[in-house]
Amino acid sequence: MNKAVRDDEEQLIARSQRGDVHAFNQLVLHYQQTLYSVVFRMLGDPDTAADVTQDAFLAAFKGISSFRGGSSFRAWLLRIGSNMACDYWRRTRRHPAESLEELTAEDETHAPSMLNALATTGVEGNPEDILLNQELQALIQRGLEELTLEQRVAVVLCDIEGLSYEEVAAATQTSLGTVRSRISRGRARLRGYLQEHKELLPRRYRLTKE
Amino acid sequence: MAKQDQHLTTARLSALLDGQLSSAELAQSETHLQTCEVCRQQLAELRQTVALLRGLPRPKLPRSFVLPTAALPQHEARTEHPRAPIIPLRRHTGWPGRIATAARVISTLAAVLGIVFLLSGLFGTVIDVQRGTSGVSMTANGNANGTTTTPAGVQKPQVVTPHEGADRLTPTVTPAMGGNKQTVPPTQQSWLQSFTAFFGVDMAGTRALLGLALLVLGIVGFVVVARRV
Repeated sequence: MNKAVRDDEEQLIARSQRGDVHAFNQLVLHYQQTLYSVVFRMLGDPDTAADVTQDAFLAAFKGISSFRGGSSFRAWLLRIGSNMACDYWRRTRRHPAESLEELTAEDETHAPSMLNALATTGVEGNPEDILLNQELQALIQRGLEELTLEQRVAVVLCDIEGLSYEEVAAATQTSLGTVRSRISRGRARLRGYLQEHKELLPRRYRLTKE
Repeated sequence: MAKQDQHLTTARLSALLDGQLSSAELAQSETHLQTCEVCRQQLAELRQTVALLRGLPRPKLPRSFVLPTAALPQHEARTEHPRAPIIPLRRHTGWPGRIATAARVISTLAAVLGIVFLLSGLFGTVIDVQRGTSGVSMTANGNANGTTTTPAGVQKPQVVTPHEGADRLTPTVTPAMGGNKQTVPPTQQSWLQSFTAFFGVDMAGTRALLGLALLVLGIVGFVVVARRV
C-alpha cells in the first residue's frame, strides 16, 4: 500500500470513527473481497460466509472507535472477521478432535512412507502456474476444515491471503513464535490430509515415483 | 556432525519456505538438505502444499457488503432510543449524593426554623400580651424577695440584674430567676426571645412571616431535590 492510499485510508478511518457510514463503506468496498475470502475459507459455505462477513463489517463499524491508528487496519478487520467465523464454527459444528495439535507432532519425525503423495514436478510452488479444478479446490477446502481453528486462521491468512507473519500475529493477537508454529503445523496437517486423498489429486500434483 | 544427521523439523522447513530462518539456521538447514533426500522431499511437499493454497481462486463475492446508509441511522436510532431515556436518567440519579443530601439537610433546617419562627410568632403575640401583666407580677415577686429596691422602675434590667448574661434577656426574665412558681413559661419565653433577638427579629408578626417564608423555602427545596433524584 503506497503512502497516498494509506493517507486516504487513515482519513476514511477517521471519518468512520466520527460515524460517517459513507466513509466506512469505502473501506468496505476496499476490503470486502479479502474479508469474505478469509471467512469463506474458514467456514467453507458461501451463504454462511456472506452472513458472517456482513456481521463482521457491522461489528467493525460499531467498534471502529477502538481501532488505534498506526496499526494495520486490514489486520484489525481480519481479526474481527476471523473471530466471528471461529465463533460461528464453534457454535454450529462439532470440532474435529482437539488432539490434532498432538497428531501433527508425528510430522516432526518424517516417516518415509508419507512422502510420496505430492509432486513437485512442473509447478515448483509458482502460484500462477496452478489452475486448480473444482475437485481439487473442494479437497483443499475440506482439508482446511480438518485443521484446528487456530491453525486454520494462521494458514488462511498467511498462505491464502498472503499476510506476513507480523500481520498474522497482529490479526490473531499472538506472538510470532506462535504464528510460526501454527502455520507449520497447519501446513503439515494439510499435507497429510492431501496425501490421504492423493487419488483425488490431478496427476501433475502427484509424486511421480511411487 | 550429529546435528546435521538429524532430520529437519516441519517447523524448520516451514520457516525456511517463508524466509523466516536466521542465517545460522539457514546455513545449517541447507547443508543438511544437500545430503538428505528425505528432508528435500519433505520440503518439496510442504512447498507444494503452500502452492496449492496460494493457487486457490478467490471466491466470488455473492453480494456487496456495503452497509445500508439509509437503514443504519435507523438502526443507530433504534439502538440508541432505549438508551436515550437511560442516559439522562442516569445523569439525574447521578446527582452527586452529597449535594442532594446537603440540599435535603438545608431544606429540613429551613423548614424546622420556619416552623419555629412561625410558632414563636403566633405564640409571641400571646406572650407579649401576657408580658404586660406577668412582668409586673414578677417584678413584684422580685420585690417581695427583696433583692433590690426598685419601687417604680419595674422594667429596668440594668438595675435589677446582677448577671451580665441575664442582661441580654428581657427584663421579665431576670426576676423570674429569683421566682420559683413561674420558671417554666419564662424560660421558654426567654429562649424564644433570645433566639429572635439574635436574628434581630423582635416583632411577633415579622417572626411569623419569616417563619412562613422559611417553611415554604424548606418545602420547595425538599420538593426540588426529590424531583431531581
